[in-house]
Amino acid sequence: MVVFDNILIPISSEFYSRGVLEKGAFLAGCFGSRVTIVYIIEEKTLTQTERRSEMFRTRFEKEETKKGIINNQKQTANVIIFFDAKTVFKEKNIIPNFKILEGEFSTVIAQEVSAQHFDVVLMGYTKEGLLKYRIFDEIAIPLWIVGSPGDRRMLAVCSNLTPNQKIPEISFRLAQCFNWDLHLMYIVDTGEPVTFDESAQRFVKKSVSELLDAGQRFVDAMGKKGIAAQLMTGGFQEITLHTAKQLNAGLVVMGQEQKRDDILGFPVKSMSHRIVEKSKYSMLFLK
Amino acid sequence: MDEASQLPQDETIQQNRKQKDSVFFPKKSSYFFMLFAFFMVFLAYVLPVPEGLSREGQIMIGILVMAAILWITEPMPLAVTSLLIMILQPLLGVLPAGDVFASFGNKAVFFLIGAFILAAAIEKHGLHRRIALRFLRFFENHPKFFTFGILISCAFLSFVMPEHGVAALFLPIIVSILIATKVVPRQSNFGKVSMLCIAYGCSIGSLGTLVGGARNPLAIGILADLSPPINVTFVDWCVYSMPVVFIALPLVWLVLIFTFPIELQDISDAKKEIDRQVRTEGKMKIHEGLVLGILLLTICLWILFSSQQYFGLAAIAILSGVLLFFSGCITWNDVEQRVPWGIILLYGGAITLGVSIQSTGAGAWLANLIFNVVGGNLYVVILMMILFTVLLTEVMSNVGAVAILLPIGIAVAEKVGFSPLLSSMIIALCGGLAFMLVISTPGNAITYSSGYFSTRDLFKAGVIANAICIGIVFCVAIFYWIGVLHLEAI
Repeated sequence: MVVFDNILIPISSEFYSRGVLEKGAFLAGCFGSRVTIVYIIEEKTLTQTERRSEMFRTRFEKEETKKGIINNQKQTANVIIFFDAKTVFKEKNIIPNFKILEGEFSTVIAQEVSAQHFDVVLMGYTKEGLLKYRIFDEIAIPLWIVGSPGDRRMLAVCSNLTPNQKIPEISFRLAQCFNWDLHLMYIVDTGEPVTFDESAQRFVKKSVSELLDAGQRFVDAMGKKGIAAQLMTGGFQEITLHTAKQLNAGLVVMGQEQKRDDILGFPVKSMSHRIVEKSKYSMLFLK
Repeated sequence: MDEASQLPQDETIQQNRKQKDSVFFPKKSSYFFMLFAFFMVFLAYVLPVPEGLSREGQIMIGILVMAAILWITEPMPLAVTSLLIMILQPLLGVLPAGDVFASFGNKAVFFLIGAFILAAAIEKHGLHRRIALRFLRFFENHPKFFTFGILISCAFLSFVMPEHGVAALFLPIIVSILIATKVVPRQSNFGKVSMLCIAYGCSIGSLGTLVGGARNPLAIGILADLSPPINVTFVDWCVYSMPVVFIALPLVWLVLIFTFPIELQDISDAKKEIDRQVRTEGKMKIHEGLVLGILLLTICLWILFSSQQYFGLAAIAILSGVLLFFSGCITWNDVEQRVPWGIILLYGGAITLGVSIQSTGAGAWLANLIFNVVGGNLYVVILMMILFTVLLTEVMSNVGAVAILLPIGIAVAEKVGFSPLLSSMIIALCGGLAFMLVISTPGNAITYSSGYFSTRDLFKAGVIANAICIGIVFCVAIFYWIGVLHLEAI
């Protein structure tokens, strides 16, 4: 029963968390997966340095400094991070592939995902950097954000904002695999009374009572499969974060909620991105 | 398979970048900021002139606001903004072109050219690296002491060469040491403190002499063009600024140590790495020795003969540049590679801005306005100058911040009744205290690229370091510059 056969672990030169490697080793150990660890030398930190030095240093000096920074980053990757990774993965008898690439975090991941068949991207997250994390919206495979380790409980979140085709099944299989408790809930987002049409391609407006009925049908269907599910109403983000906190969840599984996010018509961060920013728990986004 | 797809990843990225560089379209926001800035000049040109201000003065205020907008938002290179400052003055009838361009021939500009040539020779022969490693060897006994060594070494080297060059020099040295000690980026406080010591050491050190911080010659350039002129020698500057440097260094180090308690106990690996690097350097070569000799000679000449009755700062700086050519230590190719000519244009614009703000009476009018709001209390005025400069230098180029605030500060000083020298020292020194943001100064950006600290770490340490340095400059201004040196009366 393989869920993730090929795992990609991108590590930004701007942010390194050993927890991601440990989680990667754990997953690879569970599923017997292949692992590729990519160290990304962040273009943004290089261009920032160049931009700041624009008037004060010559092109030659800036190139010299840039080469120096890239060399330093390569050394850091080889001596510290890949060494750490080898130690962590050795315990599971797994030998990961290592790569060092230069570019923008999200772009490099998207290129890697399109070039090879990966099943999941496993990564850390920090707000305290220059990274923009466009990756939340740009890849079509599951994205696992490693947060602080919670209890052995998994929260799976379905809602009227996603097709809910994969979440119950994958959460169930993961919970079985890890031997964790599964808490499945269906949220009717009253702030966005819409649901997908039959082709799961676009939203259609519905009344709250229709959405509640649909939610109840989902809960009943899960019950028949032997999975207990809970029906909730309110804001998707608030309920998810609150429940994850109550459970001290080891993992929160959710889809890519298609909630409209804009201020005066201008797009803002995706809901996935905002939930990750506000949550300290590990999140798995199924696409 | 086409050729591009066969290239290794690095080359493909380089190719993409070259293509991007060759076709440059400013972002939409850049156009907005440019239009907004030009609109400010337009308003100043067409609006009726208020009482007490000349028409030329009003236009200069418009140009000052335009410069502030363009230097903060940077929709175009900083030097192009400087060129705009220069050409708008004759175009809008403020001053004749000859008068404006005459300011460009200021001695400070030639001092800067000489200092950059000297720094280029130091960098070319790796003398700075040898000095840096020598310094670090004194501090390799304990992790905490070692971080203090980084701070001190960066500061001392920033006395004799531009601070950004020092940051770029120390980054690879310290990263190799951190790698040797197996320090993990972001997780190790030793790593954070070491990197922040580079950034802050360079910033603080750059206050000490006229060479380290590019804004220091700007201040003396504007002071020399005042009427009556105020001439500041190399030694004068050091006498005024060194107390700030030597009080700030240990205090800022304590801030770092307390904010990020160091976890590393054993520094023997760092010691081995420094020894390895020293061995790699080998013995001093002939040209390296010559550069050291010329550097020492230049410093001696600056100390002994930089006053007006002798040669002045600029002549000595240019003399050292010429000596470097004569001795074969440097070629014109090296100068082209390592002297940032754009900054000379930036200076020209900044100096003409300062001089014209004074000569058109715009400075006095602005000072009057500020005086009515803040009042004439000396302590309040000094504190406000410090706060404004520190805040502005955090969000824009520190030369730009000083260029905007100096003319206003000089006028405020005259209005309140103290010497422009005092306000210039306050503004020039505070212009170097950019500790909080990655964008504040190249030194912060260079060290941030190492990945050893987060933007939050920088902000956290920077807020406290800034608060302490504000206190230091205030106390030095009151008790030393006014109390002992009587700068307010010069």
